Amino acid sequence: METTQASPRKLYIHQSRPRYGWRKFTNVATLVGTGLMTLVAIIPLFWIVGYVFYQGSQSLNLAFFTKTPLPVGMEGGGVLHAIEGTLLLTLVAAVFAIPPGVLAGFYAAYHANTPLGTALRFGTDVLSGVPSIVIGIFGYALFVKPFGTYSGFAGALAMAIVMLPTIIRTVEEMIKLVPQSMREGSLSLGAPEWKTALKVTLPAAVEGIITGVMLALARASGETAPLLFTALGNDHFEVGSLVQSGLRSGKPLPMVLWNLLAQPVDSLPLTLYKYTQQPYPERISQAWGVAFILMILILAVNITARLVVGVRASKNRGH
Amino acid sequence: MPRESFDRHIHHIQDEVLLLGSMVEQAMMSALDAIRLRDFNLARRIIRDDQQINDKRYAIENAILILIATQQPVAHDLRLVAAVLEIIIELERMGDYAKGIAQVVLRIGDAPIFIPVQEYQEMGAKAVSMLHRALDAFVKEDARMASIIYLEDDFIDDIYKRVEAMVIQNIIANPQTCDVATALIWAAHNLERMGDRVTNICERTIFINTGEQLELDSINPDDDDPE
Amino acid sequence: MMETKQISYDKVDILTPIVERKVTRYGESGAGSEPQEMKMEINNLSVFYGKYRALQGISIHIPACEITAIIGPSGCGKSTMLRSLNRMNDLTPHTRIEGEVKLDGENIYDKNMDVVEIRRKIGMVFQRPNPFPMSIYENVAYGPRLYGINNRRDLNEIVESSLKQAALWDEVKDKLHQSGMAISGGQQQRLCIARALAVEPEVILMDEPASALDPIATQKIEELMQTLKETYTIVIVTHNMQQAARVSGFTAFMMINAERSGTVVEFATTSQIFTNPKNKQTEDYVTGRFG
Repeated sequence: METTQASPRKLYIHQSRPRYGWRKFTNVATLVGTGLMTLVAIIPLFWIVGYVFYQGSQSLNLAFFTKTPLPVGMEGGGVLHAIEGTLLLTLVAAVFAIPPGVLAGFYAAYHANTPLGTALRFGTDVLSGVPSIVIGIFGYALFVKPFGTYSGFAGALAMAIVMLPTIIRTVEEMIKLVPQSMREGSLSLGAPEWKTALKVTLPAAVEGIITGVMLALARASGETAPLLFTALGNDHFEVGSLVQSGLRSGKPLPMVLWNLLAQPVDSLPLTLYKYTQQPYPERISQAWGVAFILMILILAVNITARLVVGVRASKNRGH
Repeated sequence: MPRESFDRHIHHIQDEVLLLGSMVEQAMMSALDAIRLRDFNLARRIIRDDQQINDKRYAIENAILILIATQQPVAHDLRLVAAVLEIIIELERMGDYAKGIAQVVLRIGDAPIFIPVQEYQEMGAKAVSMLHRALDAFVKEDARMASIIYLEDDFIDDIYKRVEAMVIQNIIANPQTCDVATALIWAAHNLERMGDRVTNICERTIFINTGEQLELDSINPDDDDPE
Repeated sequence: MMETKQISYDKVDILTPIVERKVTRYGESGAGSEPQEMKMEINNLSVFYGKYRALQGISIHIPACEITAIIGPSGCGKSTMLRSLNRMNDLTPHTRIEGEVKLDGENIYDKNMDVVEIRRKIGMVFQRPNPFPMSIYENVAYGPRLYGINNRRDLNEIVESSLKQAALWDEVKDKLHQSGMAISGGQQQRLCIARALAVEPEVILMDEPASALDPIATQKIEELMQTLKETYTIVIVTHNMQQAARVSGFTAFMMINAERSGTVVEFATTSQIFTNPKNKQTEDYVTGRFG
């Protein structure tokens, strides 16, 4: 076999190589630049958290968590009404929002290219952009005026509308993340499409869905505007005593529970807003306390969400 | 450029087979010369050079084994390498026949031989011609050509029968020439067998082309050498 | 003086009858010489995605309890062909079928055929192992549960038997409750095979089952196939020709024709395809001289 002498190849790269020193410099410069900007971005977060904690801790005491408000000037009032209100409203809003949200999310994922699916996705995008105060006014027109009273139901429904687009989008995204191969594996065993969705796709997507839903709840529970015109606020809202008095007066439990929500209800952000509007220093410092509680709530939800994901992921990896 | 390197290997092996064939042809023609000229030095050289034929056969066999292990030939390529393995055996045996004839030359020594040398020359020339064309057909994968060449083996067989008859007559007439007689038969027999070996090579060439595993028999069935 | 025998060569043409005769192979055990029982018959199958004709005029028979391999260059429609055998193509929108695919004599595309039952009888193993995010036990029990088997003892038996048939039992019997995704790739693929076996199929379709695995895992799967073929009919799509040659008894070679549809160019015993294929395209492909 013949061997040809290879003619010397013209080398281009050798000549035009930038100096190593220059490369090092750009590396370091970029690192420093992006690092600084990261700090700039993080600073507001830490500042807020730090400041709120500092200011809020001054008005925290046991009574704050366990008592309803007392008139200004009297010691020992709390924001129990708002805490209970937030929890109750969020819970009821979740009940209203999760089933349709999840099912709509499934529809959007499975039938993305049908007219209804496209309309759903478009509508969800639009709704998520609607200012929450508009949702509040809408809630007033639909849930308050016809019934003649501000109520927890109206507030919960308004919150549900705020949560809905996020839930739908989260569910849709999480389902799309489940590999098609898993779906095919189930179908090839003879499972019908709905069973596959229920027993394979949903469990595979569930932790993402839970995380997304939790975050949606957390965000919605921090909204003030939807509740302004629907739940209104109620200084004397206290679940324990309301239930007791209702039962004592002979009403059946379901009706007592219904009545809980059929009246105006307060919430933490709503209370925060109201207190800042008042000129009394005690109210202002209580407002900081409420802000503190809200921050703790948000942090708790986020951390829990991360823990849930972490546990399930390591279980799937097998250790 | 599918399988260029594989094709290069195959062509190299085919070239080596042709080379082996020409070494064998050379040995056969030298053997014929040795008989004709009673050249003992030539005979000794033929015997010595047979080692080269053996070496080349094993070298080709090795190359084939490596090719099979590394290239996994299938279908036509597989038939080709399988056929080459057989063909080099046939060629190596033919080299042994040439060596056998040289040994006969040495064994006879200066004793007179009573068979016309011409007979041997004709058998040998025909065998060499057949071999040459058979290898040509192998390289060209010309099955049609291969299916015709083997028929000329009858020519060699006829001459062999004549020689055999002559030798037997001589043994009966002059028993003391038995030694020489058997040596002469042996030489003729070797040449006759060369024709049979070329037939085998033709069978393999047909196999490469069509995948058929045939026995090419002579037209006259009773001409078959009961070996 | 020697007489030269005049031989008239034209009377002795032995070659033409050989070339024109149908080649029969000698010395093969079984395949091709005994009449095979046909598990599936594919008659003039064409598959359309919208206007595009992906497969054209496929007509082959899949023999029972044998491994049939489908080989061919990329994009020739091997996977489409395989997926037509258990109606997985129905899942792709705008798919249309012409022709028929018969299992034990019945066309699976008939209007009144139960797709669920067809997919139970004709199982599938995919290229990338796709275990469910459940325990190993639950993965295998998923199928039987679909068909109403909920008794714990029955399920235990089915799970153990399926895992044993898939040559995975010994490796996982102590960790049945570990996640199916926590085992190695080769084990996951055997788990998927066990999962398919658990619903008592008759045919197992494999779409390049070992292409995502290392050589040792591949070899285990190939050995497994030899055991499985005694009970099940297996059809395997593979782009690895040596694998097709090693494992299968019958091979179908597919290519794209002039109208850009996939067709079967040659279908014969594996030994024939790899020692003496009849079609030049087949020869070019198996010897690596294609394209």
